[in-house]
Amino acid sequence: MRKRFLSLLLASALMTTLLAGCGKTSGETSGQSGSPASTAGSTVSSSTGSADVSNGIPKSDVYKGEVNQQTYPLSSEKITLTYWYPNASSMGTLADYNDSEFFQWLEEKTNIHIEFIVPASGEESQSFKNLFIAGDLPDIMYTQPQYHNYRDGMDAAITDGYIADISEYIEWAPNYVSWLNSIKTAKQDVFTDSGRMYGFWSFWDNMEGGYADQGLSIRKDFLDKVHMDVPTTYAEWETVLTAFKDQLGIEAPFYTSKKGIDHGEFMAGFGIAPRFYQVDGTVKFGPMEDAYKEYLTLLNDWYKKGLLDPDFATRKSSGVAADNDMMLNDKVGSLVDWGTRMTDAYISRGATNPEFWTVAVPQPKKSADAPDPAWREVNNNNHDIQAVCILVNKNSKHLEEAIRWVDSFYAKDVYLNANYGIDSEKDRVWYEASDGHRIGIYDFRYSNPDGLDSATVAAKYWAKNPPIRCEAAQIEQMPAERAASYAVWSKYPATNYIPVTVTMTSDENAEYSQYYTDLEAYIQENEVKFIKGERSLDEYDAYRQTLRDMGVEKCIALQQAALDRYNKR
Amino acid sequence: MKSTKPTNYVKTPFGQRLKRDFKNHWQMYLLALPVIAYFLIFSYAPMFGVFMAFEKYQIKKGIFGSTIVGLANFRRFFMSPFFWRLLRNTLLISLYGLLFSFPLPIIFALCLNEVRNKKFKKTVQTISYLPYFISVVVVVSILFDFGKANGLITNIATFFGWDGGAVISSSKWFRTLYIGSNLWQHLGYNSIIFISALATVDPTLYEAAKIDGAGRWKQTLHVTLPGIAPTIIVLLILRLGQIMGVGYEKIILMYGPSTYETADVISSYVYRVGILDADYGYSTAVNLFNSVVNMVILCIANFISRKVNETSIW
Repeated sequence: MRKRFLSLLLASALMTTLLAGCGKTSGETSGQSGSPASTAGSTVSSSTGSADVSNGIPKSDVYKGEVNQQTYPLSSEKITLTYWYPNASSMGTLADYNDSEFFQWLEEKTNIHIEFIVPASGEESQSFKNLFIAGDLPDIMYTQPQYHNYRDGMDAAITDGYIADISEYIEWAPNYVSWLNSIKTAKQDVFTDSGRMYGFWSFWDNMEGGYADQGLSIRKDFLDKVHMDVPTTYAEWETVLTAFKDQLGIEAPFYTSKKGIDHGEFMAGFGIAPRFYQVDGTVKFGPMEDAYKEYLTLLNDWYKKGLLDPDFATRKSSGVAADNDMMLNDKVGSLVDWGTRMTDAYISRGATNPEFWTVAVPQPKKSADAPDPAWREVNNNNHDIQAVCILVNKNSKHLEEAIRWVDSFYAKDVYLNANYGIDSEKDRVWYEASDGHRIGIYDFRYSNPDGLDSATVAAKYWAKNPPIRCEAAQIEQMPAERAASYAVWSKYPATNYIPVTVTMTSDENAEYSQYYTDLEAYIQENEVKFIKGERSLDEYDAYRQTLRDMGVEKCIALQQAALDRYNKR
Repeated sequence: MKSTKPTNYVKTPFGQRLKRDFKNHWQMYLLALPVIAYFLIFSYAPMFGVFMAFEKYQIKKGIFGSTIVGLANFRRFFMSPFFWRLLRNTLLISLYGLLFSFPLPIIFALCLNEVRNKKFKKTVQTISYLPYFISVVVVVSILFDFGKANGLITNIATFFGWDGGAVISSSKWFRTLYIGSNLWQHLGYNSIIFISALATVDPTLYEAAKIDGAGRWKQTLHVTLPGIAPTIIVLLILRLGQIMGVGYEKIILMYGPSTYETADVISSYVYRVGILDADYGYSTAVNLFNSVVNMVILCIANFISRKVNETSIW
């Protein structure tokens, strides 16, 4: 009977793969670390090149990828690159992203076959961390930096030899450079504090300041039924939600994720944000503010009155958008939603109610004459930068091809196809406006002739959130009342949030996560309790003291230091 | 099983004995090989991983390259605001589980043993262990459905005066639901071993007891129970060995921020900081602590049992 040993071994069972994986990784990297950018006629040698680039961005005569500076095919013989692509929830009914017309077209153009690695929906963040343990990093990784991160920070991922410092290979990325030349904040945003580039950041085409693609929305048909207007203050919201509940019997008049709080849209009227935010360069932490208590008091009151989803704490989703099933069956009155998921998207997915109609709602304020909230949660995409960053594996066997492949997305002929559908689909998937720019065909997406739902159409004919996003024309394609939501959400200044491109050093990261992991769990737990009334809000000061004891002030200081450095870049 | 050595016994070297034994019984060794390999590969080799508990582990540097920080990881855990709660939850879930799901299969087996209708007995037995084959994911989704604000269990609870809304998101209900569903799932299956132990009790003992005038109840008390006592005790000690080992699988499927208070156990915490947050050194330390406590409990249980019952697993 080896039971006592077994239990001890259990402790280490977790580490089985680590042990095997790590030895392998360190071996590989040390073997290849000395193979820099000496292939392809490079204009700058790698040693001095990186130093040059960190001081600035190489000049480019091309404006925002107007002319594609890559030569195709990128590879003379067919090669396969692996691409970690955490977009399982955007696949619709597609089995593989290689079934997408756009990616087939791109494969033909570049002569590079892409093997998509799509982690299960909801497991993306975990899957990303496991990539490093397994020691077998894909060639290219599509990441959203706030969810997919290397534990010691992205700077460390370069130091540790996993991720390519793009600034060393910048001559392979002429199209990206042409964009950097035209982005005001490029210098501040695309470099880390140590002057390195850990990946390809994504930009908006033709949309200064980006736009909000998610926000508060409400069922317009419900509003009509109870004869009310779109609410603007918290008091009006309460009236509307009460009417939804009492007159229409809606199960969840206001839908929240299982955390009970929103991403900031709804609480912004109190002058606060869910977690870290900044006011004039000073970092603040939502739960430590007095206004946060007021906000929780409001939610607690609403929960007691049945205006929130009574089952919110058990919902599986922790992000935006309600359970599909609840939305389609008229159980939700209002929620935070994606612009592209509204009305027609739900109808194409099988909403049963023929009057189904959601509209965007402005962020509520305390009183009608209060100033607009200085917050919008828009994938952190202020400036011209979107929070999507594509990383390249430093040890890829086809490093040059991988970089060139990613860079292709920044050339106009490629990103137009990625956004609207490939050239040959003209007049079926997209049409040409009088001034020559492309516009997607609305009916093709939302009342598809092949009977596909909108998500599947998007996956089949376009690339999901490509590095250059031309959302303007997608909004243009919408009927006016549908497109109106973007204007409603986008009018808020995004001054209060901390840019996703702020970076911490490896030591700061380690210290920060040591405190913050426990803090986040503790905060989530207590917020739910406060809302459900299981813990009295009179204890809020004691709660804040506990947060202090758990090191919240240290975390704020670390965020502040990182932000200060960012502002000085 | 102690063998007494003859006084004129000359000890042949171990190597020689092994060789001879192998020659004579090589089939046995062959049979044992997969098991030995299994434990070597999956249980002993990974034990090197416990070094990580004493390191500020970094993936890049690996086990041999990471900075050694001594007991810092353990200190961090003992100072953590979650320490006592995790320990309490782990122990309580285990103890309550032991309290209910250990005796019940025995009682169930005893009851079934008394049933004289063979067909009825077989049917009940089959039905009772069917839930064992349902995946835990399915069981948990059933719980979620029944535990919703207007679900079956919540409605029943409300009928008896509960007013806290959905039971599945209430920390007060977590243990009940967790252990209750475990019981439902495992009752029949766990009773199989006792049913087979019951079959080994010598029928002549029952006859003797009957002649002495013992009724059904007395027979159970004085013949059946002593007959299966060794089985019960060995299983009990094994159970005690797992007392700190509440698995994370079902917990992480069931819990949420609203139930952390009673649901968060050491293994789910290790999962969160280790797998989700990639803090490998720290999570190894937490799990190592868990295993050490577990081993101590097992040893104590075994020791007591040996003293009291003369039955033990070693």
